[in-house]
Parts: sequence; structure tokens; C-alpha cells
Amino acid sequence: MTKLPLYLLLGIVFFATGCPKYKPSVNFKDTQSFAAKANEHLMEKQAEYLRALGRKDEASAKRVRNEAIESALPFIDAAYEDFITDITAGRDRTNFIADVVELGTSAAIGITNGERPLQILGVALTAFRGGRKSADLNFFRDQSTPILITKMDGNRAKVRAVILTREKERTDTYPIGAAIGDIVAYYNAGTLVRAFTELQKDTADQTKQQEDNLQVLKGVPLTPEAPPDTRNLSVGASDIIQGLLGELNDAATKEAATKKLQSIVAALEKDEQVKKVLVNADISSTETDGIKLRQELINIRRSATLVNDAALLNKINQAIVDNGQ
Amino acid sequence: MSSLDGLENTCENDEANLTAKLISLELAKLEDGTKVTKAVYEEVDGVKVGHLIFEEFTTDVDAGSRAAIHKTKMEPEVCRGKAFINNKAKNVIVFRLKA
Repeated sequence: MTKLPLYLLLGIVFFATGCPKYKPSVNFKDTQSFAAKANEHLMEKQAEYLRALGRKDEASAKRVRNEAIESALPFIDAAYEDFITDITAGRDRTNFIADVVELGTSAAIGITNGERPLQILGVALTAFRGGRKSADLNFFRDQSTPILITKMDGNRAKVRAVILTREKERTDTYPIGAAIGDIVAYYNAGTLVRAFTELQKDTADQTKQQEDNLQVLKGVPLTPEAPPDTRNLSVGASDIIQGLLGELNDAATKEAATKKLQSIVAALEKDEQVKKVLVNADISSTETDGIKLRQELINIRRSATLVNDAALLNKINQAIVDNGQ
Repeated sequence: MSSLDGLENTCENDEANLTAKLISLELAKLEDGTKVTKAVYEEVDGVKVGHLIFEEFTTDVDAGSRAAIHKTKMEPEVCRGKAFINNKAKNVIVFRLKA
């Protein structure tokens, strides 16, 4: 009876921790795997290519080179389709870091093999593995799967177009080494890592373009950065002004609220410069219309803000805080 | 603005002194090329202003998550926009503290 819960737990763990895929699967240890097959094929083609070049048979060398490319790409396409099917079916984003470790190991094994085509593939895999950063992991988690797939499709199409163009070139300008490099590029274009890089590049380009096309402001006052004490005084005064509205609309508190407003204005009248502003606004401490006093104080504060008159604002806000509570 | 906190203080200060609500934040520049953040306000009265929460976000998904979290705290979203912080464009989402 005690074993049943344990078996249940093991079963859940087994089914719940399926390895999420990070790139089209490549296993350098397995001779039957995609990479091993591709490298075996490329080595054969490379030998044939070199024999043709030795005979100075440019046409044959070019044909062998193009065959090497065109017969390798379907394997990459098949691996990519499997990969897309898997990530579309659902990925476990929380286990993503484990995939990065797996990728590094695979690339290292690729490099230790002394055969040239494998070295080329290994170097390419290592190069993008070296670009991994924790920021990329967060970036990956923030992207939706369709966006990543669209970006990978676009990347692959770009590389494919380059290959199709270069296949027309002679072997002296497009040797088989460059062709293998393009095969690797085609493979890498269909990985999430390249999708991250391209998406981040797109974002950077968009930002630069947006900054170049920014709206140009003319004749507007620039608000300086407000220090915390200035902000606290302004917001404190604003809270009091808003509170006074409720008091003025209540018959029971209207008179007291009006007196508070008169006290605020009386305090401001002691300053000769502020008194001129109050006169211009047609208010004084003898005014008995509380609504008017409050509204004109709001209007003066708005006007002072728009012309960046920090000294006037500070005096008004201080008088409100000192006399309006 | 030197920091996101500096931007928050400044917008709260403006809201309080203008008796207005923040509507939007946009990137802009002056004729001499100086990068500035354009804040647009709408005059209001009878509303408690000057109590905002500024957060930087990375993607729309991130902004949506932040909005959902603040909604549960009864803190409505004010706007999503961009601002220059230390001359670098940042995505900013703003919420209003529960009155």
C-alpha cells in the first residue's frame, strides 16, 4: 500500500519534465543522427569536389558543390519542421536553462572531432553558444512562440536566397568551404538563438528609427526634475485643495472651509509680489465666496506651473499646507 | 530625467500643481536635438491627483502582466508610453494609486 503513492509521484515526474527543445536536434555522439549523416555526406562530396578540381574540371566541381548543398538542405528542413512542431505543441519555458547546457556540451564534442566538415559545424555552433546571456533567457520567455517561428522562417529564407544566388558562382569565388558555411548558416537561421539575435536587432533598429523621427517641440516650457520634497509639498497642497472642494459643497463645513481659504490668501498677501498676483486674479482675504477663492488658487497654480515659476508655486503650496488643514 | 523615480516625482508634481491627470508619455526632442519626454495632462477637478506608480516594462506581455497585478489592487492603468531616462528610451507603464 505504501508503494502506490511513490509510483504515482515517479509517473508524474516522468511525464511532467519532458525536455523542451531549443534548436533542431543534433547529436554528435550518435552516428545515425542528423549531424553525423550530414558530415559524412559532406566529407564524401568534398572528396569528390577536390578530385574534380584536381582534374581542372570546373563544371563537375561546381555541380558536386551544388549537389552537396542541395542534398544537405532537406535534412535541415526536416529537422526544422520537427523542431517547429515540438515548440508549437508547447514548450516548458521554466526549464530553458537546461537546454543551454546541453547545447554547450554538444558543440564541444563537435569541435574535438578532427574531421574538417565537422570542425566547421562545431565552430559555428560554438560561436552562437558563446553569445548566450541571461538577458537572452528573459527575452526568450517574453516572446510568444508564433513571433519566434516567424522570425526563424524569415532568417532561413534570407540564407536560402543567398545560397541560391551563390550556387551560380564559380568554385574560385564560392568554394565548397563557403558552401558548407552557408549550410551551417541555414541551420543556425532556424534556431531560437538566432531568432533572439534578430529580434533584438529589430528592436534596436526600431528604437533608432523612432528616435530619428521624434516630434520636435517648439516654444514649450521644460519642466525640471522635481526633487522629492518639492513633489511632497505640491501633492500635499493638492490633496488639501481637493479636500476643500468637498467641504465647500457641504453646508455643515462650508463656512469653515471658506475661512481656511481666506487664511491661505491672507498668508499670501503678506508677500508683496504674490499680493500683485492675487490682485490680478481679483481675490483677497476678504472674499467670502469660498468656491471663487479655491478656483482662483487653482488657476494661479496652473499658470505658475506653465511658466515654471517654482518660487511662486512654492509660496502658494506652503501657504495652503500651513493654513488649509 | 535621471531616473524613473525622478520622472515619477516630476509627473506627480505637475499633476498636483496643474490640478490635472496625466494622459500620455511620449518621446520628443527640442529644436537643438535635446531629448525630452513629452507628458500630456488633462485638467480635472474633484479628483485626487499626484499619486502615481511608474514601472518600466519590456514587452506588451510584461506590461499586460503588470496591469493585471495592479488591477487586483484597484490601481487603474493611467497610460503606457516611452520616456527618456538618462537619455535612453524606456518603456514606461503608469498606474494611479487607489484613492
